[in-house]
Amino acid sequence: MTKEELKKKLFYAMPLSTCILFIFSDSIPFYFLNQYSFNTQFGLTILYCWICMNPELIRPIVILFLGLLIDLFHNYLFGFTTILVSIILFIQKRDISNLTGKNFKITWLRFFIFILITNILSSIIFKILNSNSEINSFEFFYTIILTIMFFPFIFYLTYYLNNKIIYYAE
Amino acid sequence: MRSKNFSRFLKPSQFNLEFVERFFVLLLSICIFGISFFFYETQKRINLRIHETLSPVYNVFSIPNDYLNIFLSTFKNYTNLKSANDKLTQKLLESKDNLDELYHLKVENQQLKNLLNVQAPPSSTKIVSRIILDPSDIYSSKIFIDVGFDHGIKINTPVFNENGFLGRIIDVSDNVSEVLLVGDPRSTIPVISEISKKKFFVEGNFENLKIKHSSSDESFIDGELVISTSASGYFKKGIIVGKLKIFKNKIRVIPSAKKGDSVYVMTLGYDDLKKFQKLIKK
Repeated sequence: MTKEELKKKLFYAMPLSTCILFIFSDSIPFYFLNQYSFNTQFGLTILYCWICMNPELIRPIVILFLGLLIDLFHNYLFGFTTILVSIILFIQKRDISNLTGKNFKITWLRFFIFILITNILSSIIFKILNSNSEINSFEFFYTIILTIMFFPFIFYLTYYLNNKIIYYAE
Repeated sequence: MRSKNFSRFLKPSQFNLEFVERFFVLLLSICIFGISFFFYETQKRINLRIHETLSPVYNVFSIPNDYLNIFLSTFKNYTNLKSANDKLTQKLLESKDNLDELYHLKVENQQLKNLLNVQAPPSSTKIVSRIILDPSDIYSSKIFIDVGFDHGIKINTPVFNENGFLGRIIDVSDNVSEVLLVGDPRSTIPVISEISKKKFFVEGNFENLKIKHSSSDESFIDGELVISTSASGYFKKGIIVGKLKIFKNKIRVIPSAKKGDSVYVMTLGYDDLKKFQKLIKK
């Protein structure tokens, strides 16, 4: 196996490996200066980014597996993330420009809508199943804001990797 | 319009294997979601079991985070170094002050404890005070203490320190009293020697006391105690004034207490004494 072939295989494995890496990184409790902890949603963000960038790269059955992993780490009901991501996949497959606009701000705004809906729905389900529990509204917005703040970096990473994959595919 | 869309949905180009897979995954995820929803407790148990199995993996993933936390803490410590240093310096100074005060209180406490052991006849009142002024010079030996008339101090009240008799009150204001030390040349006290039982007077001679009005010096015993008498009725009897000391050709009384022994003194009140009438200069 030549070096180029190895690189090619490595880049082809990138969508799956980065998704798994980011999903596992969600399991780490981040303590910012030992005072605040925040729940990251990197796994969901990178899966969304890959679907936006190139919906052909990740197979739906793999999305099911990754979605279940995300559900596991975020204590969502199994299947919750897969349903949402599958819908996103349907939308994006219909037209690639549905989620990615010419201007990055539009892409960012659409992601904001997606993450907001995801978190609201997950909170509603959590409240239905645990009626006695209280939802920390501060943490809710804090998580959304942080996820949105990290979105450009993750998006840029997937953009770079996607270009490399296209390059090797051609 | 709706029928047109539906026909497009069923077109062979749309209805490919990838679409079937997508559709199947969506259907499957809805089923899983439904099952999870109705068997939430079971799902929680499964979650817990999976987390238990994956815990070694979590530990591996948390290593970079630990290093990041250490780095952030180090950075925070570095940036706050100056303020932390100022705070610690301030704390150190405060601790030093507290420690000084503690030592001071310890010394004070010990001196006051010693004062309780003073040997004197039983009294009706005991007032502890502090020496506030020492204007002694080559002509006189006296001190001022911070209690006075308001505290029940009267003229001729004997004053003691931890070692014994120090002097007596000669002047009183509301909150301050003047004490004539036993070594002052103006001080004359009627006394009796403990063993030889000779009555005489002792007069202040600064460092020691001179013997006055004694019939003969021969029967005195070196080292015997000299105790006050109530010859005039103004002074309490039974107070140890000092100790006799025979030099080559002189006999002196060495006072049992010196003003430098302690800054705390105790005045003992006796009710059965005659009231001392202060002389009014005309």
